[in-house]
Amino acid sequence: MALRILQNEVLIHHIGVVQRMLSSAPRPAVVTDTVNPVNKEHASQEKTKSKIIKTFRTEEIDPVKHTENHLARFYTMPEELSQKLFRHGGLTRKFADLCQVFTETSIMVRQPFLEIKSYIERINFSKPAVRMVLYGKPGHGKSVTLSHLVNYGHNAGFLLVHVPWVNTFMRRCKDASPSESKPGMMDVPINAAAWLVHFRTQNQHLLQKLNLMTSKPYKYGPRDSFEAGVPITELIDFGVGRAKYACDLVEDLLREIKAYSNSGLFRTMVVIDGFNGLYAPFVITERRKVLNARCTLAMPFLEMSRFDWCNGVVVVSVDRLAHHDMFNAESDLPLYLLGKEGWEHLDPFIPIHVDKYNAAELNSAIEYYIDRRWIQHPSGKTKEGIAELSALCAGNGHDLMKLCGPL
Amino acid sequence: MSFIILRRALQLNLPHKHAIYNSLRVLQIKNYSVYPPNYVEPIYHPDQLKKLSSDERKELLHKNIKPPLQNQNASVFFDPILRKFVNHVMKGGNKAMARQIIEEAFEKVKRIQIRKFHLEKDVKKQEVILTNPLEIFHKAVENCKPVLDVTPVKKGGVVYKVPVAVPDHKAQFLAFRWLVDSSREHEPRRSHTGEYFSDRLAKELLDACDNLGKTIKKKVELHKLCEANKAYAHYRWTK
Repeated sequence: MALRILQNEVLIHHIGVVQRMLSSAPRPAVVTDTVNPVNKEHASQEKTKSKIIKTFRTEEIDPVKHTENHLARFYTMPEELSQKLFRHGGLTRKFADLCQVFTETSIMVRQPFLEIKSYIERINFSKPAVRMVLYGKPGHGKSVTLSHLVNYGHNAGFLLVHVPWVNTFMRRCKDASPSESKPGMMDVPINAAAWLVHFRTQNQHLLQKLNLMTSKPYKYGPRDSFEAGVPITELIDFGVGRAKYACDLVEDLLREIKAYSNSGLFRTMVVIDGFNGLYAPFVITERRKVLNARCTLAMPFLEMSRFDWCNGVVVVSVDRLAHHDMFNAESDLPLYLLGKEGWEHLDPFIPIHVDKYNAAELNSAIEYYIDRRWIQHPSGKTKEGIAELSALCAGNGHDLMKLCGPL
Repeated sequence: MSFIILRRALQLNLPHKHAIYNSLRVLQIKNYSVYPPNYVEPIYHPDQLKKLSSDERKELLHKNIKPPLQNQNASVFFDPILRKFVNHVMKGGNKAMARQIIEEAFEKVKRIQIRKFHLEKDVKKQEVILTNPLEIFHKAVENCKPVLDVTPVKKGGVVYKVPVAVPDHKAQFLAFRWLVDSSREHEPRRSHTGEYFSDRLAKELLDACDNLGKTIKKKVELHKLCEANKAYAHYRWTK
């Protein structure tokens, strides 16, 4: 059955490619501007201020309101929001570096995001959680799409359970020690505490507003126990302070969240980047030691990506770079990257293909780089230079960024 | 030719043949070109082609032309001075690595300058900030080029350091060498500070662009030496 799905997937992929090839006539970004009513308003406002309208930007900063009209345009996140959402990770390192240089966090609105958004808007949340899997070649924008989605989830009022990159604890963990509560498994206390901090900062507003309480007593050590009815924020603060118990605490916290979601108090969005890393062998960075033991922190996130709960949506990405043998990975498709175990865990899911830039997106990206001075070479702004860059990067956003590095 | 004779000598069964071979290796002709002298240099860049007049083009039609070098290309981003600089950064013939390191250095220069540019809200002050790494590189090399150099002249058993004017190609060579040398000082420091060669090259380029730093100091010191030896200047042409 799995094989049939794979073939089907390949077929869909090919159909997509053919469609794109047929419709690959360069679509100038300017055309969409006239269609967009929101931008028209802004245009009239800007005219009064006598500002130059930039065709590759959109003034719509709320991802909830992003539509087809904003395709291939950059929106800029408010500074406080990007600090809140991505201060402890969430943007890829290179993208974050670029944002730091540009002194703004701008993300391009792209088709995969709109696709996910349209699905989320149509989900019946009383039914079991829907899982979606992003896949595509490295550098095509899976992680950036997820960052965009995190912003959407925040604005749409979801509680975010966001893992910026699974391999920070599965392959490059800071510290590993044998678990006390689960014999034969390994704890990653520092990473777990760091994740709790990330969770706390991303969901500040909701945690304050909802004022969640624990449903049952928890006992971590001889002197560290919590009775039922303690605020969850207190539990998180304890986990951050006592990293030793952080792994157990993440599990309890996510179980509580699942229970609250089931009761319909709020909706939860689970976003996990590099999900297939959870199925790779657990590696300790020092001496590259592969352990037979499983990582305790992986368990709660696997639990969250099941479909035994409601009022939730799970969006994960599978990435060649998260594969345990990334240089020899043969495919970017979910069946290969997830493996049998992972596939059976996630089945059924909605596959979402993140493709390379189309002509309009590429134009807009290059224009954005010229505006932000990432392309400095005088020839880079000419027709020939742009043609050369587009040919060399072949629509890969990461490659384009790297190519423009020394220019 | 002489190389072939040497190899033949090696095949003979002489005593100490390897010692003879090694001592005679100096006879090998250096910089021997595989192309005869009637071959002309190639025109590999569209910009060069545009500069040619129609007469020159007609002349070139019937000439033998050398192939371009591996690192000469027709990209719009190609820069001949930068191409030369790559050779000075290169170690052990690893040109791809050298090019990559320079590109990294350029990126670092750009990151520093662009951030400065965007943080500056005053438009007039913004215009002063140079953000093009290639422009910074050209300016840095120009600032590092010495005007005078010293050459040893033997006179009455004493070697004098005589100041002479430097031709442009040699000035450029010295500028390149100093830039690389001052970035290479204390090279294994990386393990302590995490500072790579590209980091230091970027810093050195930015400094040299502002007429500051170690490289400019080297140039100034050479000029001082020339100034001190001004009295020997006439040895350049008297016997």
